[in-house]
Formats: sequence, C-alpha cells, structure tokens
Amino acid sequence: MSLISLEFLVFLGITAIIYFLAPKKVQWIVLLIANYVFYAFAGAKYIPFLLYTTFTTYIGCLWLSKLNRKYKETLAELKGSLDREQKKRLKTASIRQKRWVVALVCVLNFGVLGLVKYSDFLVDNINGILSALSLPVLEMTVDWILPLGISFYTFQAIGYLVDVYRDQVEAERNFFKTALFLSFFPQLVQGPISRYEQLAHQLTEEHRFDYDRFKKGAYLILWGLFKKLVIAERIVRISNWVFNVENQATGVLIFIGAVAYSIRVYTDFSGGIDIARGAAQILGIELTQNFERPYFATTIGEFWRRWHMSLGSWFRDYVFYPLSLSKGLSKAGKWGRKYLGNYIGKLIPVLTSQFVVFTLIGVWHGSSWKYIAFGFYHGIMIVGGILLGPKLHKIGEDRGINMTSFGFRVFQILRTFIIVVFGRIFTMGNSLTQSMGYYAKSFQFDLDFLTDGLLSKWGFHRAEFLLLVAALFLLFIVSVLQERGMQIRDTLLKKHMLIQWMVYLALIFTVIIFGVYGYGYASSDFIYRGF
Amino acid sequence: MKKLLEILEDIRPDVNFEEETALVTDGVLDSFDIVSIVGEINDQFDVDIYAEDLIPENFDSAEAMMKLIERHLDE
Amino acid sequence: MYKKDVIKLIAFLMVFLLLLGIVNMFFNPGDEIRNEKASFYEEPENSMEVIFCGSSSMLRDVSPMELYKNQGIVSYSMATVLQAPAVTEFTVKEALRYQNPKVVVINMESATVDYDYVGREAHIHSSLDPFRFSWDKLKAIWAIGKQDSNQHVADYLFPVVRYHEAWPSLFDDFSRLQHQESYQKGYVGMNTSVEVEFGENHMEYSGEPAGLQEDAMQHYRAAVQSCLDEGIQVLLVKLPRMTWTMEEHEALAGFAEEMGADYLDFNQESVWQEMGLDTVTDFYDANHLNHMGAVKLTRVLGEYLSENYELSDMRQAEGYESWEDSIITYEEKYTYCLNEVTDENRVRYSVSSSQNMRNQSYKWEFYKNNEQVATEETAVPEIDFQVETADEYYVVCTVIDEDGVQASIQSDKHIYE
Repeated sequence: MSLISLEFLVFLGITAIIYFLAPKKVQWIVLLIANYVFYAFAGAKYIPFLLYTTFTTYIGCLWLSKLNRKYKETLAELKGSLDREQKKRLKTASIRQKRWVVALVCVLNFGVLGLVKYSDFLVDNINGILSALSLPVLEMTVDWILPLGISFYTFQAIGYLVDVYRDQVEAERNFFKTALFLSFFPQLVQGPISRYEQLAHQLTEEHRFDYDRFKKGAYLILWGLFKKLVIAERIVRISNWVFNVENQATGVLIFIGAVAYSIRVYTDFSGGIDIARGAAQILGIELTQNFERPYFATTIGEFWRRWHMSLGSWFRDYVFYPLSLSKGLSKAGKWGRKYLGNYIGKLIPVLTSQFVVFTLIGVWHGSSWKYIAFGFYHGIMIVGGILLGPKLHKIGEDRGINMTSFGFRVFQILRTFIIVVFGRIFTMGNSLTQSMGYYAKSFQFDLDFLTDGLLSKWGFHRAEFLLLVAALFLLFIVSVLQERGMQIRDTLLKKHMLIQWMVYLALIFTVIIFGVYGYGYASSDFIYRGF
Repeated sequence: MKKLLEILEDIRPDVNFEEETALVTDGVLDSFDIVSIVGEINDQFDVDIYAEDLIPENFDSAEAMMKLIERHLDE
Repeated sequence: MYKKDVIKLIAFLMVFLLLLGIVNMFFNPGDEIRNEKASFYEEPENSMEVIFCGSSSMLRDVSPMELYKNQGIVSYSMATVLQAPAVTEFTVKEALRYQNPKVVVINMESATVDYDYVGREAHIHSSLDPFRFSWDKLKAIWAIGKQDSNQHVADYLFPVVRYHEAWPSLFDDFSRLQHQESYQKGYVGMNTSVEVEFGENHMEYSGEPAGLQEDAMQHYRAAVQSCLDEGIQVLLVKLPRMTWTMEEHEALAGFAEEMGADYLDFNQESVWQEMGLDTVTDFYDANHLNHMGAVKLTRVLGEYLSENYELSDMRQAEGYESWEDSIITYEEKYTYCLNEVTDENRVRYSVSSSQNMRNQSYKWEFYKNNEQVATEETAVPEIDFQVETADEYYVVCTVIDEDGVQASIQSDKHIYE
C-alpha cells in the first residue's frame, strides 16, 4: 500500500494500538507480523525474495561471528608464544576466510538485485555490441518482478553483514529478530537505509505509548504529506510539460523545468521519508535522517552529505573507505606520488574511489545509461571540486573576497544549486540520447516563452499557481528556521494546547483541501518506489 | 605523537589538532581528510589501518589516533 | 497520566470532525438538480402521498406540480440523471424514511441496459451527494465500490475528498448551502424539443429476448420489497421512449406480477393516444419528454393514480398553502418551449407557450461552432436557418414583450447530418 493512502494511516493506527496494548515482551513479534502483513499488501509474491536475503544474511553473520570468535580464542591461547610475523599471518588467514563469506553473501544478494533490476539493461547493451558486429542477438525476454524495496533492504542487509565482519556488532542469533531488522515496514518503500547498531536494538526493545512522541510523529507525517501532496504533485506539472519532447521547450524553460523537477524530487522523496520517520516515531522508534535541507549546501561534497544521507554514508563506509584504503589504490597512490608529484599522487586513491562511488550511485538509481551519466557528472564535479578547490580558494583570497561573508555563502549555495539542477537534466529523458537533446536545446535562447498562456499550458490557473508559490515559501521559511538550528516540533510542543491544535488543524486541512490526490487527480507513486 | 601532529597539520593546516576532541563527530574532518590521514599514517608508521578502524571514536582527537596507531604497532 | 492524554486526543478528534463536517458542506457541489433533491428534506415529514423514483426519464417526464394542479395529489420526485440501480434502491428507502406515501412509482431504467458504474462516476455523485448519510446510503456506496474499484467510500462520505480540487471557486455561489422548499417538487423539465422517430419494432415482437440485467434487477427487487413490507403499494412504469420492444414490455410486466406490483407502460398504443403526445413538439430527445410532453403525461398518470389508489385532494387543505404559491413560480419558469424541426439542411425553430403570445417579439442568435454567426429579430415565434453538415450549431431565443425580456431559451448543441 502506498505511504500516502488512507489505508496506510489506518494500518499504522491499528498496528500502533495493538503494539502498545500487547504485553511488552511480545511487542517485537507484533511488529514483525505487522511488517510482513504490510509487505504482503504490496505483493505476497515478493516475500520469498525478502526471506531469501534475510536467510542468507542470517547464516552469513553467524558464520562470520564464529570465525571472529575462533580468531580471538586462538589469539588468546597462543598470545605469549607468537611473534609479530606469526600474529600477522594468523590475522591475514582469518580475514581471508571472512572475506570469502562476505563475498558469497554479497554475490547471492547483489546477484539477485542485479538480475531483477539490471539484466534487461545488460542484455540490451550486449545485443547492441553483438548486432554492431553482425552477430546474432540474445533472446532474453523475461519479465522480472521487482520486489518492493529490494535496493533498500539488500543494502541494509549487506551493511549489517560487513559490520559483523568488522567485529563492530554481534551477530543476531535469533532468525526472527534478523527478519524484523530487515523488514521494518516504514522504511521498506524508500528507506532510509539503517545501520544495525542504530536500529536493531530499538526494534526489539520495549516501548510505551508517549503522547508527546505521538504528536511529534503525527506532525512529521502531516508535514511529509504537505510536501508530497501539496507541492510535489503540483510542481511536477511544470517539469512534465517541459520534458515532454512534444512541447519543444528550449532555453530558459528547460532550466525552469529542471528547477521544478529538483524541487519535486526533493519534496517527493523527503516527504515520503518524513512519513516513514513519523510513523516509526509513533511506535517509539527513531529512523535516521535522510535529508538535511540539501539545497542549502555550499559545495557539491556537502550536497551529498545532506541528500539521501543514508545512501551516501552507506557508500562512504562500505565502498569509499575500503576502496580508497585498499592495497591496490594505496600502491597506485605511491606510484602517483613518484611520477606525478606529491599533490596528485596523494589524491589518486581518493579521486578514483570517489569516481567509482558516484558511478555506482548513478547505477543505483536505475538501469539506464542516463543514470550512469548522472553519476559520472557528479563524480566529475566532486573530483573537480577537490582538485580545483584550493586553487579557487587562493584566487578568492588574492582578490580580497571575504569568503566567510553571508553574501559569499549565498553565492556558494546558488552555485551548488545550479550545478545540481543542471545534473538532473540527465535523468529527464527517456534515454541518454533524449537527455542530451535537452541539454542541447537548453542553449537555444528563446524569450517567446514569456507569452501568457504558459501557466495554463502547464495546467495551472492563477489561483493554483499562487498556492504553489505560497507553499514553496512556507517550505523555505521552515527550512531556514531548521538550518538555524530551530527544533520546530519541540518548540511547537511547548506552546499552549490551542496553538498546537490550530497548527495541526491547519496542516490537516491544507493537505485535505489543497493536496493533489483522489479521483479528480490521478496521483503518481513516489518516484523512489521502484527501487 | 609529534610525527602524527605533523602529518595532521600538513593535511589540514586550519585545524587545531592539539585541542579538538570531536573531529569526526562534529564534521571538522571530512571523509577525504580521513583517507588522506590514514594513507599517510599507514605509510609513515608502517601499519595497516583498514576501513573497519574508521569509526569516530578512533579519529575524534589526535590522542585517539595515536592510541589506534599504538594498537596496530603492538600486533 | 494516560487518561489526560486520551481525553485531549479525543477532544481534538471531535473538533476535527466538526470542522470536517463544515468543510464538507462547502465542498458539496450544487446545481439545479442537486438542489432539487436536497429540497426533499424541506418538505414536512409524512406529507406526501406519492413518491416518484427513477432515472432521467422520470426526472423529465413526471411533474408533481401538474398532479397537484389537476387532482390535488401531493408528491415528490427522487429521480436524477443516469441514476444507478443501487442508487434507485437507496432513494426508495430514503423516501420511506421521511415520508409514508400510499404509492411509490418506479421507472426501472436499467432493467434491460447494462449500467456503466465506471463511466458514470459523476452522475452517481450527483445522485447520491444531495442526500443525507444513512446506513442505506453506506450500503449503496459499498455496492458502487464493488462495481468500480476507483470509487472509494471516502469519496462519498466526505465530499471534500472528491471535490477538493474545486477550492478556487469555493465562494462563488452560496445557494447550495441553503436549501428551501422547492416549487418544482423534484421535477426539472426541459424547454426545447426536437422531432423524434419511432425505432424498429416499437411495442412489437423483435425476436430478441429482453435481457434483464441481473445486478440491476436485484436492486429493483429490494426497492419494491421494502415498499411492500411497509404496506405501500408499488406502481412500476415504463416511460415513453422511441425504442422499446414487446419482449421488454412483457419482461417488466412479468416482474411486476411476480412482485405483486402494478405495471403501467406508457408506450402502449392506448395510453399513447390518451396522452396525445406529438413527436415533433413534445420530446426533448428520443428517451425524454420536454415540459409540454410532461404536462400531457402527468395528466394521464394523475387520472390513473386517482382511479386506482386512494389519494386525497390537498388543494385548499391546511398546511399545503405553499403549494398554491409554488404554482405561480412553477408556471412562470415553464412558460416557453423552443422547438426544432429539421428538413434536409434547413432547420425551423419555433417557440410555443402555455400562455397567450401577443405583442411579443423574438430575438434569435445563431451560433456555429461556438461563435455567433447571425442574429435576427422577428415578430412571429418562428424562423428558418440554413445549416451545413459536420458543424455544431445552437440557437438562443429571447422572448421580449412590452414589459421587457420575458425569457431566454438556449437550444441543445447539434451536429446535423
């Protein structure tokens, strides 16, 4: 069921009531059942996939935990009688064994993920090469089903596995508690991707109903609904119109469309995350933040630390660090320092792994060259930022620009925003070729678009457009307040009850009356649902 | 310790490593800094610090980093 | 500690529901037919002797005010356009909740034609929204939901959920918020006419079986039964239409006999003669009469009702004074009718009236494809106009006398072949 449906709210309500009325010892079982009921609603045929990942992860973690124990026991037993060389060999042997386990579980799970999500893409590209060489093409028309949340729960499972490998967490011995960790229903649809250390204990702990916490969760859900239904579903009309080739948009219009899309993807995605976090909060569970006002970032690097944070930190801890500190890249770094100078040489591991990370992030978004190009683009921007950063900084200093001033910060924010918006255009076409077409057209300058009728072409009458502007303004104000450190919900809860009531009622009716949903509109699913 | 401080100041001259105790938790050092620091440490101290050691507790202060290096030297 | 929180939460929910009720009132659309149906509740309880139910034929063909003028019979029409069988069952039960009539007259419009619940969503809303919430309404909504999964219970329980996109025009017209006693008693007549022709096998054996729709018949059965259970007599009718076979006639007659209801088919030759219906002036289209036709039909219906049921004459009766006043407003509304006769590509428009037509002039404005192409004034209520095929035309006729503009009638839009 969709996170923005009445059914979900009813489901959440019923689950919460049963959860808090149940004896504390079995609360986690209630939650486990609720998780699978939710998943069944999405599609009972997906359940085997989730169980498969749960099972392979569970076994893999137990095995790793056994290997960890063996290593520690052997080390403790023989501690006195080994020298440094022998200790190192023991460690290496243990690591090698553990790596096999990790590799196996990864292949089993990423293999399935790759199969259902990317095999069509691979086959298409292989066929492209084959037909170019006049060789017979592969016939592979399998209708892969895409289990709900597979990209999210697979990553969460592997993260847990690697944490056990690193002996940072203890493997869970209870299969059902493992299943609980990998199926938590608020985060199934679109994340956030949680860490075992942060989430697992919360799921099995006892929770009592807390009215203030309930209010905070409800408010967060309402705010998410506001972002998604009042803003995202409305502003999408602009980007849909601009990026429909039939409308032949050019020049500034393409940029406006890209801005509209950037706002849309943010309000849509973060709105869904708010609903997920609010729902979890009502149950007493805290899910990690996934967004921190990303468009206020001053550099691209900072942008990726504020956007889809759980994915970014997953890639940082499980791809970037291991890769950049790996033997291979360290050697490359040494080689670089010898032949290309100290400065560049030191950067080789970092730059290479950044590039890999961003390409993978692009791939994660979808099985199309346009997403890979999108990843590439950000990779280049990040790398460029690292390489050019110090030089640009020096230029600024020489020119006497005050780089701590508010004005300069605004400049940085706008600059970053434009870079991000420009990058979105890669994802707007149906194919990479079409996206490139949009880029080409954006350089055709044409001011005729300013004729009236544009609003109605986009599907707005004046009143509705003003509403959109007002909603965006409200979002902006709230974001600025949050940026300045204000904890809005905590502040709200301290106010007089009538004021709280007014805020809640205003939000509820804003969503009900101004939300784009229902028979009149056909609401689109969350963009990230298909991941 | 002195050697460590040299490395740190070389990579981030703008940070006061003698006093800071929340380098990672407060976001003073970003992931690139960490990687560069670890690269240098591995090189100059002849240790093998891997990704599994990259938790905030080990890098929040110069002392924490020193302790990490010593642990690796012991093994 | 919990108690205080729970009380606060419940209090909040109550305030929310109250506000939701107010908001729903504002978002419930209003148009002439919806307002007419809502006015049903303005009639004093248990003051009607006949209730009319059915779809658009019933809405256009039977005028309660004519019954009152001719025989003093007091009645109300619950009919709406393209009414779903599930809704017909509901309106019958709803009528019985507030009134205790002697007879309920039902036109089973969807007995032989499959009702398209999916495509008629807007009409289902128009038929249901004006009525109050009740268990029977909820049952009707469930039945609708089963036929079309895109229509949700929330859409019907809370108009704001279905119509919130109309928020820009929320304050345009407040008439829908205040309902008054109706002067038409649920009837909404048409004031234009076209010439119609009988279809093949009209009231003859066609060789094709009647094909009663199982789902629709279940609802009609339930509707009839709920009347009979309360000792109320049921008259099933078939109102005039250009396509109607003997098999269909017999199928409905059989159903009526099976249920223990009476049956009157207005398509029968004898009844048709009695009404004196004219296929040129009395039909709005092939399945509906206009006001002129409704007057004729209701006269005959009134005679039939008086002969067969014990109905009282409420003219001059105490408590029904407002009906006398209503006659004036009612007749003023339906004074004129715009008729249309086509002969190849020449169309003759004429105006007929229930009153004297002296010293009046007529202004005609012709529209082709929504643009005005000609305008003329005549002293006689008649004018000819040339049309071309494949273009869409309509006419607006304004009747003017010494006191000023009396009426303005717009014809339907037609494309002539």
